[in-house]
Formats: sequence, structure tokens, C-alpha cells
Amino acid sequence: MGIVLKNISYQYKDQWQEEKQYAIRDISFSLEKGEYAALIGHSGSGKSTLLQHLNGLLRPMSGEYYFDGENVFDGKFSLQKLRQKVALCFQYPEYQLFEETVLKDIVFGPKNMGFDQQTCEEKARKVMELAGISPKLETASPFALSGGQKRRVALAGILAMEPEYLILDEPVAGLDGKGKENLFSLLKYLNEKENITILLVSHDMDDVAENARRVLVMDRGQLVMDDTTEKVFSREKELKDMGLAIPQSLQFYNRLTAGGYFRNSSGADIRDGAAAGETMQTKTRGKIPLTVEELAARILEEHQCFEK
Amino acid sequence: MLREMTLGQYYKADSPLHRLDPRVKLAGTLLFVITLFFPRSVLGLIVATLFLGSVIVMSRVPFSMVIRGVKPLFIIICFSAIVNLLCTPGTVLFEAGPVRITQEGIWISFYLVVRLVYLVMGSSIMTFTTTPNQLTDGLEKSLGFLQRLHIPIHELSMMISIALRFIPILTQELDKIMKAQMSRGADLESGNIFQRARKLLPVLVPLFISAIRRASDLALAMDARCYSGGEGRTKLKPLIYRRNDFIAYGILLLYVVIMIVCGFWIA
Repeated sequence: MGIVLKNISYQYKDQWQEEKQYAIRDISFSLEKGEYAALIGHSGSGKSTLLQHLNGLLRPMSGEYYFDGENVFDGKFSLQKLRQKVALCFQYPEYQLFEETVLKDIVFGPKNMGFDQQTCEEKARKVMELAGISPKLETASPFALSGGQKRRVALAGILAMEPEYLILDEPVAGLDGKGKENLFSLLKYLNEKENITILLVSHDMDDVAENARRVLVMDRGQLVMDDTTEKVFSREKELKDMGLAIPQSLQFYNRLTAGGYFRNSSGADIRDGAAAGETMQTKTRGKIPLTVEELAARILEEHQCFEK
Repeated sequence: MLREMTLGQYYKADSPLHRLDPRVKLAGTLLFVITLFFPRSVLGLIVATLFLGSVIVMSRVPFSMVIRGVKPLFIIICFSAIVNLLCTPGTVLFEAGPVRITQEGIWISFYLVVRLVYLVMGSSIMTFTTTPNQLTDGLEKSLGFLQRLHIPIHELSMMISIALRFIPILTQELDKIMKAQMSRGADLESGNIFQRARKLLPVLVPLFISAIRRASDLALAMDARCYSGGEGRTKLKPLIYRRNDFIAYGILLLYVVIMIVCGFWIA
């Protein structure tokens, strides 16, 4: 079940251009419950347009969208219900704060979903704890908070609707290291403990590699790759052609491999490695290091082999 | 909804009209609007139609876009036409109860509609072919003499160009905030006018905050670049009349003379 998109296309009506251009074209994929996926692509590749479809903010010009087996755009399906189940967190969500107090702002979502005041506040307090917002801030004005706190309040306002799917457009843009770490551990918690599906848009490949288990790649309005994180990032050359990078740790690993460093633990010949280039590491040990920790482990392993 | 408004937007194209000095276009628009309100004459109307028609063709702006600019004013135009149609005394053509339509009424409302439509079309042709920056530059230079009367004309034109520059930014911002609130389940469309005004609060508060934030950022950025008003400030693209501009003035003069002749002597 979950989210199923079939051949979704969308064009923006641009009055300045005579020809219409597709913002997204022929996109098909499905998202199961409990997944943690990332959507990457160059600026203007159609990521934001795609996200807005998932939330029912844009109507596809052709193609179908099924949510738990029901056709979303058949006219009978309630968009309100869709927006509760599939929550969308825009870029810089703190700019949507508007209420006098933090608590009031967080209950805005659940209230729109038709819950009474008491239930709303219960939900709000629950997500405030989750998001790490101190109860003391309940009556504070959201505009008096720091950037990181504002972001957490905005996210709490979205989580208070208790969505099953959480879609985030660059959630860590502009956050400092600590704020970023907190946010990703919150997402991890939501995904693992609450079984919330997460779809994340990010330009930071290290964040993607560290967190997502599946990666979708968009290029010029089309979905060009959809695979596990490891498999997507092993296609370095194709990604480069689309203006995308691979995680730093993997770049470092590839250089070491090309220089013949991993001959002990990988067991491959140096010249082989240099000749076969980037396709080699997938053959050798299967797993490629996507994070700094994994890379460090590989290097230490290599070092131990060497000492023996 | 906001995207459909074309009045006051630039249409990028390469046409003789686009290349004209903004002062010529400002003067032209002003004169065209004035001639529209010369005494009613069929001949004058034909000349104005021909003039406007050839200007539109020359500007390479699609005709459908020029028409679209009139759309937002459709209700106002209809309203004034109907009022004139019903309230003008004269030779009665048709009468039913309180409704009385006169020959003069038909003429007056016909002229009114044509004049209003031409007025909007004429001025939108100017904004279609002139960027807001060129426009305020032209305005600043043409009104430069007011500086001697201690009217801060440079500052005023700077304010206008900043305001114009912010329209698309704030439109985009509005669109984004509306979407963000809708995805939190906000219902912005149903209800009567008071309910809807209340429901717009979640959109308007963030919009105002962001406008103020942007304004203060901009002020800081201008300060950082040592902006200190118009005195001694030079232009990146100073306005200089070229041959085509003088030709355009000539044509404009000819048109005005013909209109005066049509409006005051022949009629």
C-alpha cells in the first residue's frame, strides 16, 4: 500500500514562455510504510514540484496518485485527510509561524483536522517533548526564539498532526552543527520507533548517505535513479554528469582505492583497481563506506592486515 | 490568482518599442491618455485605434496578453457602462418601467468603454515594454526639475523601484506561505468574507514579518554600500536620446496634432 505514483507529469503555466516546459515528467515510484528515503537532484530538477504533489497541493496534469490504494485525485478523496497523513515540511518552515504563543502555533494543525482543544494540547505537548522544546516555552512568542528553536517549533506543528508520512524539503538548511544533529536524531527516532515514513530532500550527500536507506535521483524533471543508497552512490560518474556529488567519505575511499591502498583487505590487485576505476569497489567487498565511521573502520581493518 | 495579473509587468522581447528611451514612452502614454479624452468623434476614435493597434503590433507583445491586462478591470468598466447607459437623458429609444435607454446613453457608454479599455491597453503596453527600473529612471529624469523645489524626487523614485521590485518576491512568498499553511490543514477558501479574513491571518502574519525582515535587510545592504541618497549619484545606464527617440517624438507629435484636428475642428 502506501504512496504509489503512476506516470505523474506537471507543467507550470508560465505566461512568459510560449512553449510549456515540464516541471516533472512521467514520474512513477512507490513509498512503503516505514521507509527512510532521500530525494536528490540539481536545483530546478523538479524536486519541490514533486513534493507538492505528494501533499495534494498541486494536481498532476496526467498520471495517478494512489494513497493506501485510493485514487487521490478522483474528486471523492478528502485532501484534508491526505494532508494529515502525508505531512509536508517546507524549506525554512519557521517562516510559517504566526501565532502569539508556541503552543497555539503547534495546535494549529490538529485544530484544522477537527480535534477539540484538549486533545490538541495533549498532542502538542507530546510532540514538544519529542522535538526537545522545553515546556517553559509553551507561552513564549515563537518570534522571540532562536533560529534552531523556531525550526523545532515549526516541525512540532507539523508532527502534531500525527502524520504517517513525513516529507521534508531541506530540513537542516541554515542550522548549525548541533541543530542538525538534533534534527536528524529526531527523524531517526520517528522512523524507527514511531514507524513514520520519511522522505527527505537534501543537497548534502553526507547527510543523505548517513541517514537514508533509499535514494531517488531526479534530473531535469525525470526520476532517473531509484535504488538503495549504496547502489546509487556507486554510480559516481552518472551522478557527476547530473551535477551531483557523492559523499565525502566515499570520494576519499575511491581515491585511496585508485591509489592502491586497499589491496590487503579487499584482496584486489593494485593495477586492477586503477584500471577498473570506480566499478571496482562494489565488486570487491560489497559494502562501500558511506559514512566517516565506516571509512575509518575500513582503513583500520586495512592497517591491521598490513601489520600482520 | 495572482499569477494571472498582467497589468504592470514586463514582457521580454526585442522590439523597437522596447529599445525606446523610457521618457519617450512615458510622454507617449501620457499624451495618448489625454487624447483619448478629447471630445467624442468617430474619426478621432479611428485614429486612436490605428495608433494603438500599430503600437501593439510593433511592441511584439502577444495581443492576448494585452487583453488579459484589461480583465481585472472588467467589472469596473461594465459597471460604469451600465450606469451611463441608464442615467443619460436624451432621445428615448427604449423604456420599460424605471429602465430607460437613450440614444445618447448608448453613445456615451460606448465611448466610455472604448476609452477605458484603450487607456488600460495603452498603459500596459508601456509597462510590457519597459522594465520597472527603466520606468523609474525615466520618471526621475523627467521630473528632475522638481528637485529645485526641494521635492526629493530621487528618493521617491528609489522607493517606487524598490516597491515594484518587491511585488514578485512577495507574491512568491505569499504562494509559499499559503501552501505551507494549507499543508497544515488550513482552509483558506470557504466561508463568508469575515470568516475568510480571519482565516487569512495565518498567511498575513508571516507575510508581513517577512516583508519587514526583507526591508530591514535591504536597508542594511544599502547602508553597507554607502548609499546616501541622490546627491552626486551617477547612473550605470544614463538615459541618452538616440535617433529613434526623436523619430518617436515626431510620430507622437503628429498623432497629437491629428487628434486635436479630429476632436476640435472636424467635429
